[in-house]
Amino acid sequence: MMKRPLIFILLLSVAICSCEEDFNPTAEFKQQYALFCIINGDTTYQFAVLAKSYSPENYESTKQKDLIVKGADIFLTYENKIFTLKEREYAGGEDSLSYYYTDTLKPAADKILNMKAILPDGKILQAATKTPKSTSLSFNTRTDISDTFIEEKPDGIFLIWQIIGGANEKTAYIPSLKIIYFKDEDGKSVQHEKNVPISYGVKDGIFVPNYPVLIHRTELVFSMDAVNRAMEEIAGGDPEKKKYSISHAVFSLMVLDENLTAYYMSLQSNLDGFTVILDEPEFTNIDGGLGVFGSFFKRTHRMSFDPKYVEKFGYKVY
Amino acid sequence: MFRVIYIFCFLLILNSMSLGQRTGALRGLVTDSTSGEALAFGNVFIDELKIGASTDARGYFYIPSILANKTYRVIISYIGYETRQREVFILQNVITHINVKLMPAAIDIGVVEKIGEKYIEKAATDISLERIFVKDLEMLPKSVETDLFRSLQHLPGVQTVGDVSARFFVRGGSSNQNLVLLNDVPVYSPFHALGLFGSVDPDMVNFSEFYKGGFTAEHGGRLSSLMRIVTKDGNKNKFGASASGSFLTAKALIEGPIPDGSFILTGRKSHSNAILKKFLNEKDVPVDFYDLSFKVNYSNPDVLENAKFTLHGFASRDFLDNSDVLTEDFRWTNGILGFKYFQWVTDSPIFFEFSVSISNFDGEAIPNLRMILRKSRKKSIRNILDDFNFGGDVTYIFDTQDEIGVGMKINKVKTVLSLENDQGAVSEIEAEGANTVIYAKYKILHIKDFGLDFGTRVNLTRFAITTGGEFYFEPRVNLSYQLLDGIKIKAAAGRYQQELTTISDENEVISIFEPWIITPRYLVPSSAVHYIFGLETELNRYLSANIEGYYKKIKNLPLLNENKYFPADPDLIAGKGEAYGVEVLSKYEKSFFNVSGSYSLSWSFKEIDGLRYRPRYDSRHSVNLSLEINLGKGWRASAVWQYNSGLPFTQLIGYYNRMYFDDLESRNYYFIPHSILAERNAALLPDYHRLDLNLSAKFNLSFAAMYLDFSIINVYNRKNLFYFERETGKRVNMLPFLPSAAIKIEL
Repeated sequence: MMKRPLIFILLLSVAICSCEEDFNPTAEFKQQYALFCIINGDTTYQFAVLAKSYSPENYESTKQKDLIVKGADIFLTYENKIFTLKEREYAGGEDSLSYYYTDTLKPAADKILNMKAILPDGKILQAATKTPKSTSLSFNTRTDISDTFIEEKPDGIFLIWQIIGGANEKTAYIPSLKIIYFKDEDGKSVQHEKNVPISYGVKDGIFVPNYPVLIHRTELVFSMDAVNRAMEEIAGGDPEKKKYSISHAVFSLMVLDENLTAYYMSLQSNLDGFTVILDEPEFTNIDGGLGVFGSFFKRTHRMSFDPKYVEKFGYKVY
Repeated sequence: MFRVIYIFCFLLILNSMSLGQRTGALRGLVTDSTSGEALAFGNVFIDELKIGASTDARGYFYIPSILANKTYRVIISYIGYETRQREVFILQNVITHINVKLMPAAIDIGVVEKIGEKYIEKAATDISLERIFVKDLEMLPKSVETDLFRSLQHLPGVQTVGDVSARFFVRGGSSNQNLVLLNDVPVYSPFHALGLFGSVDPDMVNFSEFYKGGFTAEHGGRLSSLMRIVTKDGNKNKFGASASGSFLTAKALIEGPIPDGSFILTGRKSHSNAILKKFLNEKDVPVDFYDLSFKVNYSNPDVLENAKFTLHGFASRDFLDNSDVLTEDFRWTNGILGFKYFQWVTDSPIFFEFSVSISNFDGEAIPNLRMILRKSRKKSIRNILDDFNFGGDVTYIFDTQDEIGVGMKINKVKTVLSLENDQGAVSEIEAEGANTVIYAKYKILHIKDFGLDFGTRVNLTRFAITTGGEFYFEPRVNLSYQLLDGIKIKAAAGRYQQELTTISDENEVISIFEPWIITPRYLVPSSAVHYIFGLETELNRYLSANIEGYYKKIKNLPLLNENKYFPADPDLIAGKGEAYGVEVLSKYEKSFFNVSGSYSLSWSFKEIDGLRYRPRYDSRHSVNLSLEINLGKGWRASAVWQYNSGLPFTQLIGYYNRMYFDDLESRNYYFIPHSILAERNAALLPDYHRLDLNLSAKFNLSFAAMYLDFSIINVYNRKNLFYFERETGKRVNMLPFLPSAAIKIEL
């Protein structure tokens, strides 16, 4: 009586095991192109990289230099003036790279830039971006002012800024604070800089610096503990503290436009160790292709040190 | 609203016309003779009159309009128990009460059928309802141990996205559209270990009801399905204890009588993670979890006649503790405490229940170096949900056997989602609101061969709009009609609303926990309509078949905004959903073996920003075949074969290298490959199929009963594809050939 169902199960298993899988994880490959151009509003030197996509079979063997598209015509349009980008090869062995550049374009704030790339196969990639409103960036507001003096403060070092006339709500900032110091090396005073985190994280007794990343807010606090620890790390284990002279600190602010902000956000794609995500979103503002056309400016705020604070660490004041 | 009240008044008058005849009524409670546990959904049948009733979830039954001053032979039957007969004299204008204790049938004599089912079930309007008993689950092959939620995937219309997760999707709905009630209190994260197992210990469960749609007016708050789990009361006759162990957990249960009541307490704790590696492609899952449940009940006729008081609680905790300091830790907990007062009014066909409960969910990603270093997109996150429920309902049963039920419920929910912002500062998104709902429903059971359950929920206030209130009606109707002897047609239609949602990324095939929030004010709460039509046949005494077709349409479906780049961008955007399909379930049940087969043909779609696509759980064809055999002398065997046609996935077209930068100013750029994807979910993974076997035995020792259980999952080691790693193309399969064993000793 029991034999029949068992035989049926056995036969079913054999039949199922012999099934072939008709399955392809990849779709038909179609050549696509990616254009990357990030305009630095503080210089006349601008560059773009043009690369092509590649099929999954070539994932292991493909190198970036093999993907670069040469022979394209790339134009930047600014204030009714057209800038033609020239092609140049950067020879770096394995890291050799071909790119396009111009050294005559320094856009002003809050201006529209257009880009057009005509590829050797006739395909056209186009994009537009608007530089951030940053010319009138102030490190003071009506009610608050940024610290200009680094000394022992229980609330840490406070920085605030505003763009006069109002920033675009999609404007974002990448801040950083660097301590500029000099070290006597073989009788010469050599300049160095020390990056200051906003805080330190502690896990299992290990201190890990937490550096500022892209933010949308317009104020920031560097904890006093983080500044103190950064100051201590300048000499590290070196007992000769007097070899170090602290000069000043510079707070820098990269002001990113809307497209560069969105692209930057889309790059933050790593997950925890367990979550498995299959289809990750991406951002592009390149019409007809992939990549990004964005811009940024840099603004700085100089800060001096309280000599007593510097001497507390055994350093000299520069 | 007034129209509904009118209809109720009319029906009340109509029913009152039948009063005053020389009749009496029979009421009673059916329990297990060994434990005193209420036996839900048993049959009570009066042979001479060919009428009867089913026991309700509490074990009570009520048969009105019995010609009085006569003795009747009442047959009480329940599957797995010996049928009993009682001679009962019915007095005029009196509700005669009987308590019936049924004795469990010896396992070797097979299952005892329910007597009079075809008379009693005629008017049942239970479309899309599956009743699940733990003793049935114990017969199924199990991946490690018996699991209520994993068993659902054997039902037509229920999908999962892989062996790894017990999360389920019902008739095209998302997983957050399933309401899980434990003793009528919502459990917000009913899973352990990344969703691998359910957190409700089956040993605690008396029975569960699973509605795949079309649930009636007393239930609401979710768009797709309802899983109602009712736990045991505990042994009212003697103290007992059991202990069991599997490759994953060790657990214990104690139960026993207290003065005028009983209690039960269970606890389960993970002891090894080794087996979990099999679920996650040999990846270490350092999760530690436990769950605890208790229930105490009290019923003393000297204090309050026909009343029952119940206090119950549940707690579960999972902790994912990584030894690697670069990897974050996770913790999530559930907590429930509830109190119920049930009263059957003496000498009156009225019963009511009042309940008050709290339910809490707390999930947290604990920061670590990886997060501090900003190498993870998942920032520090904490989600707290506090749910307070207070409500009551009253049911009146007319002499015609028609029922009217009204109820009210106040549900106050507070959700807090603490997110670490870009600078490590924590911002809290807090929402709080109360949903006040009243419902009324009427059940027509007096028309020959016809049953109708209709009513509506009326939302007086909603979570998202706490002031001023905003009415929202959720009318529901369920009906059945006995077309021919052995053939019944059933139908249901209704409107459903859901105001809580999870921030879920549907591209995540494994996620640790899903944070709950009240639907943000910028979105309209999601709503759905269900239309269901079914045909139920009993071809002979052993063979039955059930066919159901359904159509479900969802509006304002909250979906994760994948293009959120700026703080002002919404986290969620409104989409649409649509699902339809046909399900067939056939069973052949004899005393020593059962065979069942099901097939479902289904379509489901989501639409966002004009893009219509198949969600990842949309399998077009599903087949389930199961065979259970009683081998005698305490031995049982079962086999389950499951087939799903391929699930949708997005194909890879190719790669391009994306430009990354560490320092914009220094132009320190580098390139990392990034995938280019084809149309969303337009391709299909290979078909899924798997054969599982189980062999179980019960041995009665002199001092205890011992249960042994052996299972083999994926007998022919089918390499069912889970997903491909995008960046490496590596194939990740689901569960391989996996033998497991469990032992349980019951004192």
